[in-house]
Amino acid sequence: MLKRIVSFSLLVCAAFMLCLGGCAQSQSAPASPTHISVWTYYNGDQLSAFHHLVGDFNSTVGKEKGIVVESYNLGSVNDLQDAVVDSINGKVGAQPVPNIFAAYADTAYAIDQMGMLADLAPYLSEEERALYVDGYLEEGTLGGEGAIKIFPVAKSVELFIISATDFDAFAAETGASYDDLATFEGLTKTAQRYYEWTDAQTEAPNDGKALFGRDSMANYFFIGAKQLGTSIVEVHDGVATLDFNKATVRKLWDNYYVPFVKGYFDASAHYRSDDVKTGRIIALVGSSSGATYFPRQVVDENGLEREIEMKVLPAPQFEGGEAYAVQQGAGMVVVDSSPEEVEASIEFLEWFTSPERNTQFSVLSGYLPVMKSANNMEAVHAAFEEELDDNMEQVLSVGLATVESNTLYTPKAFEQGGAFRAVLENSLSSMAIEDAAAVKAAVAAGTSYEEALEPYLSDKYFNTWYEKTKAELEALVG
Amino acid sequence: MAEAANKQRSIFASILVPLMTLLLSEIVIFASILGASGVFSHLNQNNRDILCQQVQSRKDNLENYFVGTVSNFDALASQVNERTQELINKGALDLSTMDAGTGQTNELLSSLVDPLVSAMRVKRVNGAFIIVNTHDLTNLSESGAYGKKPGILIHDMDPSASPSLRNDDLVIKRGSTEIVELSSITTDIAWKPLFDFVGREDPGEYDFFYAPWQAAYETEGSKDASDYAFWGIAPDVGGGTGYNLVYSVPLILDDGTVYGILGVSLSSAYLQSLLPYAEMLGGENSAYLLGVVNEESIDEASKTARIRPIVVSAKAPVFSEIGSTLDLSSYSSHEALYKLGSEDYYADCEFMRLYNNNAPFENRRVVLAGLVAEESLHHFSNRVLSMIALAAFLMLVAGVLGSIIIGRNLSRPIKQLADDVENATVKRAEMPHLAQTGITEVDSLTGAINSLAKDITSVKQLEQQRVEHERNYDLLTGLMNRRSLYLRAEEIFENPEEAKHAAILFLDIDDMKKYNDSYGHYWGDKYIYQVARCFEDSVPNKVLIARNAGDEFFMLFYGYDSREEIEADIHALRDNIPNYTVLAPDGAAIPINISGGASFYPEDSTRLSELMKLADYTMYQVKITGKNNIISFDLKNYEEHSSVRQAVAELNDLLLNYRKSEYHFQPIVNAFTGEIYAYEALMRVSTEHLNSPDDVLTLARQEGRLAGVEELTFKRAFECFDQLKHEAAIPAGTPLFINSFASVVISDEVGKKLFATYPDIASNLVIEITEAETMNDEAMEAKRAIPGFNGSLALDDYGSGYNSEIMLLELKPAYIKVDISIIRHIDTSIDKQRIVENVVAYAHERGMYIVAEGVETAEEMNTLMDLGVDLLQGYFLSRPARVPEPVSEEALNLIKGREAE
Repeated sequence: MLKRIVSFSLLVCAAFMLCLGGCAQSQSAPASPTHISVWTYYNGDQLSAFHHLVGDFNSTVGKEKGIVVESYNLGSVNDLQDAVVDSINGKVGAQPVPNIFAAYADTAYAIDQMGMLADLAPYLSEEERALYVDGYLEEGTLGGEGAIKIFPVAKSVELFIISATDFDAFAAETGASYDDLATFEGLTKTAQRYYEWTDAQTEAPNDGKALFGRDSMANYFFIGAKQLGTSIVEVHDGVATLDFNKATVRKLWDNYYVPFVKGYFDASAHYRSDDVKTGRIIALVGSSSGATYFPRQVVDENGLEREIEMKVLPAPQFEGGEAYAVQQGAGMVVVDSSPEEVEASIEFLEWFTSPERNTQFSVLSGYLPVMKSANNMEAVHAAFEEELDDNMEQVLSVGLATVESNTLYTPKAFEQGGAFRAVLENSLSSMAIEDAAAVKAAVAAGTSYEEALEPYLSDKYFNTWYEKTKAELEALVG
Repeated sequence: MAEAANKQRSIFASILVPLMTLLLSEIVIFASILGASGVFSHLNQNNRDILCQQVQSRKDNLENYFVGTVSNFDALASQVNERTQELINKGALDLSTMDAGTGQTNELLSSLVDPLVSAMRVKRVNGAFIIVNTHDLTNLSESGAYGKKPGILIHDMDPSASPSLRNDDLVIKRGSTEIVELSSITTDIAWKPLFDFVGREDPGEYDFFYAPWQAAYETEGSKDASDYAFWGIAPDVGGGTGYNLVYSVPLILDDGTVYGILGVSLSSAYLQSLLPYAEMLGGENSAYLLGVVNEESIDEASKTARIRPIVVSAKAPVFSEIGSTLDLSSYSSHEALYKLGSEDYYADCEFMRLYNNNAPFENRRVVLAGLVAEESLHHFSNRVLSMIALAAFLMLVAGVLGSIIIGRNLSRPIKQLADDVENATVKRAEMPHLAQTGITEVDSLTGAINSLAKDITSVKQLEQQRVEHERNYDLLTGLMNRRSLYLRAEEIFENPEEAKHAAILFLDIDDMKKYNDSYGHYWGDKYIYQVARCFEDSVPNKVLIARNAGDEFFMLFYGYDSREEIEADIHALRDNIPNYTVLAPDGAAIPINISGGASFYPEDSTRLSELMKLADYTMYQVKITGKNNIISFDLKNYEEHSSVRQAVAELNDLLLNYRKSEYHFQPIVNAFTGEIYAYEALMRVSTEHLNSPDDVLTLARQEGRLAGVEELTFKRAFECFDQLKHEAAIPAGTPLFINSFASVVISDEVGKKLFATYPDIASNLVIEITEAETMNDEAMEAKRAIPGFNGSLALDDYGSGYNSEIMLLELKPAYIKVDISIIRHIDTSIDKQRIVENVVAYAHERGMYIVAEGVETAEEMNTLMDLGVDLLQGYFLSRPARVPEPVSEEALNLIKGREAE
């Protein structure tokens, strides 16, 4: 009888212990969460804004649904694309393929060609799609039938940003006005006036200063051509057609290359904001997302600082041209993996692009929201308790106005889109930099300014470049 | 059953109490052993040790990174020095002016961008910098206002990310415009062309620059650059609020010229990522703190240290309270306690060995502290403790539940059993077959009960048989008893076919009393048993033999064809008896002597009672004619002896009508005063066949009517004595002596009534017990206990029978009446005198009175008076009469004569 009691008691105790063990276990280790890795090219304010939001997600919705998002910064857009390709190709030393990465259409297209991207269309209802600004989702279709491969997260447009401090001083003496800067033609003329004005400040001849520089040359080509009524590349079903219209390209040449070699425009350091900082230029066309890099101070050679105020204007357009503006900014793509991971990725992205958070991210990073409802200043203000920094206010309001008043354009992706873009990016600008340096050197060597310039302003010179570039581009469209 | 359960304990309680006691004592033992063994303090110490190991291993890890990777500068430094020397040799650099403005150093520094960047990539640090200075800084060290210095600082916000081939992840924080334009690295938002050391509140923040440079400068660069290496803290370059861990070495040319410093920095944010605080025991509730300790702020004696934190890696908000210094009030073997908020924190401080021995800054330390809330540190042991407590509690609960379940499982079948048994008891039914319970021990019990029930059933049957046997048979002899023989005989006599010729033989063992007295009743029983065997052996089997009572037997002979056949068997019996003897204890062979009488059916009577009476009569005839014979009923003789039967009838009549008897009274005289002390009641009967009290007594004894005579005596003597008192013939209060049989007692009812009617007589009554009667203790006690009797006892006829002395001892009478045979001629017999003398002495010693009866002569009376007899009775004094005469003159004179003397 005692044996029975004892064994029964042991049994009961064991059962309780098991239960306790189980309880303790379930407390300390919930269902193992799905880990999602996100690769971005964000830097600075964008990166910290993104980190901040990822942290929010992990501690709220992620915790609730068992999703842990880990974000990695992979340097620049191009670095990121290389890393992704390396990972997908299983290159030695490459990191594991991420679940989500930020990508421009070209990058996404390249990766999609490798069959690695998940189709997001099944996860987005008609109502959800209707929430996005027209055109933003289409960019992510990559030409496929109904498939959506890029999740729009943040968009940027190009803005004209100028040191008001410097321009106002110049304008006060010369009568120049901000209105002159609304067109490329006006910009070129004003830059010339600025060069001449600054040249006159010193006794040394031909030491005028450049007014302007721009970051993205490819955008200049694409949007300039659109404004002038042509499309450099048309993509239908993944097949690209080149239209390197000579007259259009000549106009682009005349309004960039020509003022550049003349010293009215400049591009020295890595970004034009660096050039503003070092005092080489006072105005730039750059991405709204880069606007935060526009310096507050200009520092001279000897480390002397002076404060400048920035003014944001819409990017200039060609006179009489159509109102086109570039819309860019990488979306997020989801790598096809296990259904759980894809679903968790969608979960995160939907959360991330909800109007309120999207607005927060945009505002903190200089991007523009992707939701229609967030695309106005009221919505932007509503998303923030604190008043916006004046510079940011300018960036956003001008950015949103650009979205509002222009046809947004971004070239559709095609197989050699990346290389195509690179050609546009570099062929004119690097030649301009070299030639401008050559002119400077020649002037410094005693050649007259006009003489030094002459060889670069001829039609022949243009034609040579045109044909060379066209050939390069045709090879890519082929 | 239910009552028993209340007084005792239920199975539940029987299990619960010991089990709980056992559990509790186990828990107490367990707890005391745990307590005594210090398991929890060991656990806590273990936790501290584990924490120390964790912090130490993290420290080692960092130390290896710092020493092996971060501070491995030799190649870069010599590259910088070579390039510098080259430019000096070329004349492009002038040591005395190269630190003024940016102009001279642009070429040098631009060419060093790539080596710096690749060093950053390899070392995975946040920043790499060169600061050019060729002038003594001592005088400026107080304020820290060292002024503007050319140099370059490249920054990588996230060195853990894979490096960008285009250096897109880098910014230039310090460096001239030319450097910026040539480097294709973008500028930081807070970019400036020159380092600007403005005065700081804490000039120590510039120590990373000043200390190694100055140390090398002062010693003229005599040591290896790495010997001047400095680990310090530096504010974020570019207006940030964070601090960096900076490693810097002086740049020394081969000739010992010190012209700048080269260094790398690790931002607090990046260091944070290298310090995963959650790996420590406290998890989220812990923090890593990386800081530096100056030589001045360590006090080895008092074990205090002031740490300047570079970074606190933690999540819990409480750690943000750690300010710009962390004072470890006391530490020993790395351990310290630290108070944050309201909680105690345990801190393990691990000091890194980053400097070479005898290096100038050897005493500076970089320290990694692991801080864990005491509570979190002891979380495990606390959890173990609470789990043990919970387990103990659950064990108790389980014990109670288990007891309930076991108790129920055990008590249910037992209760069922109990109910079954109870039902059986109530219904008086046969013991049921009890069901199996499945519990071995209970089933053994059930089995035992079942077999016991079976046994009881058979015992009951046996008992029934036994009772039946006892009802019909005599226990001692095994013969039929009277009752069963009567029943059988009546049956037989009602059926003449069966009876045919039959006879009742009445037998009585002769001298049974004598044997009993001689050899005791036990042997007497054996004797009777042997007689029974003798009878059985001596008659045919079909003859029914029964023991009547005591020494009397019956036999029923039946089914004979003639009386002669029966008589032949009876004769055979008579003749066979002498063949039997019984061995007495003393070895004597005691013969069996039987007196017997037979009556015959149908000749003498056809009625059993009549036949019984006739047989009895016949036996009685044998008894009175010499015993030891068996004869048949003889009608002639029966008729001849009808006078006896007549006398019996007269006795019966007398007893029915007791007033037909008469009582006379004889005075008992006080031998000293001559006064009448009492009267003895004496029966006077006068019928045709009964002429004396002796006749009555003898017949009554024969007929078994002594009790009737006793009752008669009491009733009639009281009546007559009362009448005398009413006639005033005797004074009230005079004692009355009444003769009583020792063996019989009047019924309580009669006694009570009599004593209530005559209380005066009752209270002065003296009951004389005659010694001739066999002493019967029970009867004697009954006599004393007659309700209402409060008189005395007298021993009658002392000296006539045997065992007189024993009677005397047992009876303890108030009076001893000396028998007439002693009194007769006492005056002439010395022996008789001696006897009386002795008894008088005996009596007087015990307050008893001696009565002398049958005093018939003056001589006798004189002698008796001489002997001191108290009371005298006899014809000489006064004869018995209905109304007694006064005491004779003669007797009175004798007494008075002695009185006068």
